[in-house]
Amino acid sequence: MIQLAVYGKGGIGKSTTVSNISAALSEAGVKVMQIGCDPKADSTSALLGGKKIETVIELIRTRGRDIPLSDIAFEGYMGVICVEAGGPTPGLGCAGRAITAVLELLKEKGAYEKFAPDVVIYDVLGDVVCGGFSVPMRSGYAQKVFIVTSGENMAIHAGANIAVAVENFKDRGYASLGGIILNRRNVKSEDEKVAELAQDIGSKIVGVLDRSDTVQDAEELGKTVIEAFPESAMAGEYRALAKAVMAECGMEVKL
Amino acid sequence: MKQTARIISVYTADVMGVASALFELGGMTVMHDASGCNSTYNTHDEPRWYDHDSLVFISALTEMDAIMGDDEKLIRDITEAAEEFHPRFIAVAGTPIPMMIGTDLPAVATEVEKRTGIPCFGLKTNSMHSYISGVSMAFEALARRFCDERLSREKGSGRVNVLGMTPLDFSVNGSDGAIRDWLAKNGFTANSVWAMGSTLDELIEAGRADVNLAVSCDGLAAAKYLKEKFGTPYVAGVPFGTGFADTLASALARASVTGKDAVPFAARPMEWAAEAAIIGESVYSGSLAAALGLESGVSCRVICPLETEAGLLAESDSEALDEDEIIPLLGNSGAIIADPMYRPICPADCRFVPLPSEAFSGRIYRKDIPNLIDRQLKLL
Amino acid sequence: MLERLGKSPPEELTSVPARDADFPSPFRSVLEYASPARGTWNIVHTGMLIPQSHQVFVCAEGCLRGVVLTAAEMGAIDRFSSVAIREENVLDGDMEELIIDGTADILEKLPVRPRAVLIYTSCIHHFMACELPRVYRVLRQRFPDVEFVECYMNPIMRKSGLTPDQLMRRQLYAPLKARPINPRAVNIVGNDLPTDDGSDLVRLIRENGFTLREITRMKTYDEYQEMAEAFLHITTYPSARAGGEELSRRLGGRHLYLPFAFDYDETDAEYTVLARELGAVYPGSGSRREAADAALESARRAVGSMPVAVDYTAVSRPVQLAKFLTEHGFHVTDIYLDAVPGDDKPAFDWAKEKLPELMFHPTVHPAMRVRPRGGDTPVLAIGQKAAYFSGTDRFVNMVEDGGHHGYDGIIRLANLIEEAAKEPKDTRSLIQVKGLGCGGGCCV
Repeated sequence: MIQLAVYGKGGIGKSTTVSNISAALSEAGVKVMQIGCDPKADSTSALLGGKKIETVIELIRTRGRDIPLSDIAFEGYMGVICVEAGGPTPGLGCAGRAITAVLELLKEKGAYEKFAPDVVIYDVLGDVVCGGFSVPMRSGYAQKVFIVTSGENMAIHAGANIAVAVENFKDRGYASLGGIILNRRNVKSEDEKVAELAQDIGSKIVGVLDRSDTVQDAEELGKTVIEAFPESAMAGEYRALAKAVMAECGMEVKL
Repeated sequence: MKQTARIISVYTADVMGVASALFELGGMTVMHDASGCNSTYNTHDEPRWYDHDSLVFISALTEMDAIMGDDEKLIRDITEAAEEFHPRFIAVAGTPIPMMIGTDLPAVATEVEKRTGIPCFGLKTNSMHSYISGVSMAFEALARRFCDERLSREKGSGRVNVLGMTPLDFSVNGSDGAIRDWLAKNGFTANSVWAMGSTLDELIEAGRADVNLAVSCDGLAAAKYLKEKFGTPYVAGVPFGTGFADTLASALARASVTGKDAVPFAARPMEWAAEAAIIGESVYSGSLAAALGLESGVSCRVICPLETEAGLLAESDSEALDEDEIIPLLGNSGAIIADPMYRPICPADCRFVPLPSEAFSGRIYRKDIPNLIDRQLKLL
Repeated sequence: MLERLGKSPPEELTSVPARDADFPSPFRSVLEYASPARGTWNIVHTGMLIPQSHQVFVCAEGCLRGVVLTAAEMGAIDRFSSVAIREENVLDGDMEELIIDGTADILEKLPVRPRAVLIYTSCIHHFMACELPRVYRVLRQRFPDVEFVECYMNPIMRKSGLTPDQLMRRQLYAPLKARPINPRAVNIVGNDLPTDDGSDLVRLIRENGFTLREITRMKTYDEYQEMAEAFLHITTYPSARAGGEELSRRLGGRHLYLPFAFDYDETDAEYTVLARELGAVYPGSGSRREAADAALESARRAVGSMPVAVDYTAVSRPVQLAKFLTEHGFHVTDIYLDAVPGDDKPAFDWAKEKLPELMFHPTVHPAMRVRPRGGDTPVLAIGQKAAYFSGTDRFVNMVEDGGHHGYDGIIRLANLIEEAAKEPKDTRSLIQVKGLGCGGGCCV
């Protein structure tokens, strides 16, 4: 089972990117489980017709821990298994502990064995501010971390911070850096800046996504580009990205 | 290594200090922490627990409440209890998880007060500081909230507020009554004792005092506030022994006249080869050192393992927060006066004089905690 | 002077009759109060049962206070060390290093290297997402001669999976290393107190030629390790059950849950199952029922018209005990518990119908702080909390089923009830001692 975690600055397009990768892989016959690790709980909505599913945290809070897996995981587009960790409202509580508690619960309930996905993708909140947000990259979870960034400074800084975290943990058997996904915003010298980031953190750009209205159009439909506009150039880019990301993880996928 | 203790005990924490400070005053104290943590306080830090219906509760915080930052549950539960018991005030004290998740206890307190009309304060304790910090915070909060600002200092009246009086330092062996007697004997009256044997109404009148007496470092925050508000000077010290009790009484009288604060025990001469070491809270131990010096001519230095302030330690005294910091300081002591739970780290050949402290060993040696106020010490 | 509160709280806050009580909790969870009754065991007491072990608690000082003084009061301060977490550790994120370095520092200072070190991490370690497996991995590499036991002082997690009590009773056996199964060896696991030698349970095992082991009887670490050879692990205490199941799975043995039942048929059924497991025959209760009835009748006469109150700290099935005693002519009027144990559901259902006026009282509701304790009618209490809240000096001072089991257990309990009815006790002194039966002296 391949597990990968995708990090990046908030609003940079992680969930959109991850959902499209999941959709592309799923179309190619790969069984995917996508786990949103963000209190906003909107990672998987594009795979579910724009619907937001009930979060694991909310389920635990209202119904206790004896909830069946079938209530935690939802089947989305082309059978992608969708899970949203959830967490507190902004300014309150402890989102890091929320993520930790949910991932522990999934293990405890044998979710990985029951669903037996080929690939698990963790879509993780942008700024890794405390221990809980590093859990998806720990041993037993993702083997590879991918960073979504644009050429904007804040995204680059966030990306660099994530790389620092990965580097700090290199002796612990945590995930290694799989690469950078450039999600273009068409800012000045974007390619050069991101290439520089890649060099600085000892990684590489595994995929480039152009800025395209197709993405927003699909979003408005509550779908991934893969589903809404399968013949589009953007869909092609997502497929290529999915293939490249999987190749980094040691899996060859025909897309 | 810092922060480790192979064998010694640990002092009462700040959140328990809050409960102890406020115990007798008719309020309600809520510790914001997981279920059961309050029983530590009840059992080990509060000798008055069995006999008095003081309202000290815990919020029974669970993982999910903490993840969600569900302050509304806390507010609702406190409000419900307040409506049932009608306490004079409510104190909400924090612990590690609320600290970690940034729970805004002052804001919680504001909301509770809005809903109940009962004065409520949120105290930023976190269980990682000692009772000195908690008692200080509690008394200062009380002073700020309750001391009647319309009053003014009655200079020359001989009224004295005793600040920092808790069983954590003084047990329940009559020391509080003995201090009142000593004050009376020296022409003073106890205006209020913070907070054993006095009502909240007496504390409210604190502004009338002539002089304040801080009997523990944890009484100083309130003392400083009262100085700021009413101009009341304070003297720090405990009237141990007879000689030092007289010295302290004179210091009170002088402060009444001059309006200047004083710490009579800190001016002990520098003693490179002090004959005895005392381990304990700075005002208590410093006073004891001074008293022993006067009574038996024995020079003592203080090793203070708790928070203290500048001016409370004499030149040969030391601060040592951890076991590994205390041990090297004990090597050359002829006699060591300390709580029995320090015995295992004292040199085997030292003359160990047990002087238990509730704040360190809890109830274990309670019956052996002597009342040393204004009487012969007979320790060495 | 102390401000007195004066008025009593409304009855409905602190008393719910069985007919109106909800399962499992008749009471809402609000703020909590802690009574002075402290006889139940805590994680320090239980952890000390591993012979030649040492405990290291890593937590904030406020959290350390109760545990270090528990160790001191039980005379085991030399087996207890601590590492205090400070604010800077939370901010710097070096919590894992603190556990590792602190434990190592303590180990280097101990005069004798312990065979096992129980490290108790705390609530904050969960919230800081500390990678505890790594901590233990590092320590095990550094100190290969020491068995590190992962223990927890995490009351914030009491509604998240196994309770702290269940976890402790499971972890107590984590060091047991698998070895060839001995088909003649049996364990009773998860109890703090040894099961009575005269109990039907122990006798059935021994009289059929089996070696019985309980951690409470093990004097050395090596003896404790021999427990791993048992072919059968028996649990009798509800909180021990999960641990017993896990242990038997891990070591390749079998598990039986045989709680102390206040019901003759259930008792016989348990022993029948046990005998079958042992390849033996349970001869039936014989004259045991009559003996138990006689003991109960003698106790009932001594109790006379005194109402009886029971609590959840004395026995793990307080409602079943209430039913049983009622059926034997006692006038059981009150039960003190905050939640009805799962095992007690059948008795609870019975009480709703057959003893609808049986009053349930919480022990932690804030109103219990000021509820009047004791009236004109003396009460016979079974359990320390029942004694405290009833304001009585006639009580059975027992915790966690007291090591009793079966008919013998019922007879012993009957004798204790009779003795309690006849002889007053110093309630105040007795109930404040922590860890009844742990062997420590206390000071109170």
